Amino acid sequence: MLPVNGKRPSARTSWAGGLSGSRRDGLISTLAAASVAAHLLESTLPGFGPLFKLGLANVFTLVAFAVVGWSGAVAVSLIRVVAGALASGSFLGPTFLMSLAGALGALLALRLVSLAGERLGPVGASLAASLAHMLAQVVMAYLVVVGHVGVFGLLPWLLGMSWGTGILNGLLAERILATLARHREMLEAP
Amino acid sequence: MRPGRFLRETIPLAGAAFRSLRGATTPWDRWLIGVSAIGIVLLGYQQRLTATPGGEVVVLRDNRAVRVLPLDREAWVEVEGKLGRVKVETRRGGARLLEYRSPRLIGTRTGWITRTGQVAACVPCGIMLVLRGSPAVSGEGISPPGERFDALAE
Repeated sequence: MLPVNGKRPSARTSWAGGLSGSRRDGLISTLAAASVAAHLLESTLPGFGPLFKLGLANVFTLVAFAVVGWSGAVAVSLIRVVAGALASGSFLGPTFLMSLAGALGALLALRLVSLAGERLGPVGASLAASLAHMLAQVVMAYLVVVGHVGVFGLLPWLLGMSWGTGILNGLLAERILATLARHREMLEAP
Repeated sequence: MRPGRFLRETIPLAGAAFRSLRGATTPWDRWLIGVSAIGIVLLGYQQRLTATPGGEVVVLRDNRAVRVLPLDREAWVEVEGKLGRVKVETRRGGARLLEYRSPRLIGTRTGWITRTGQVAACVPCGIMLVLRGSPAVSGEGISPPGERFDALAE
């Protein structure tokens, strides 16, 4: 469980293991659907500048990570990558491989965050996942698509953008988690 | 807007944003934010320090040099990528990549690249531009089309 509002979870806000199986599955499905919708919506928006993508879909992965745990984040993230690629027609293409690599990199970072206990909050977890996401994408671009070491020359710009979007998405996730914490009885009601 | 008024209105906003960020983060979050920012700035600064004005642009398709264009003359060529044709333009010491069918147009949005080591890439197209010094300056020969770049040698 990630700390919300910069504070460690209390008995009131901690949900880890508190949701029943069907509630948990329902929440994962809802977050995955929201994540796919955000992914598709964002792909239709005009760019805000070179190399800049908000990655709003990752907010829902973070929420799943905080509420359900790492397994929830894995489910939401992989459903989003596969369903998003199927819906946009890029399944098994280079864009899909890049997206999958980014998702796996972010999940690996989240796994490390979960092993570190409750030191990092949503913003720190989001930042770590965002930087790992971009690093994994660049490595995948080098290994599979471009094959030239020059692609690493883009790293400072790409990581800089990931830094900003990681913090922004973390703040959004923190707001969503704070709101969910106020209405947790809705989730846990029989 | 006058600078005094701008500062009077901006500083409280920045302060509120900082307090909001501080309230939403743990000390470890803030440590990670600071350390990663310093690392990224140093990485960019190191690249900038070692870069010199470019002399020619190498057009790579799947890690193979397909064209080498000098930057001291205006030219444009079209190269076949995985998503169709892309256009490479050189002018006044710079080069840029223009994509037509790439989903995010990252290579196009990178704009003009002018210094050695800078790259513009359309990853889904498999096309990348890499700037290097002119042959007379860097001692590198012009690679014939089709030459495979050795990443380690680079």
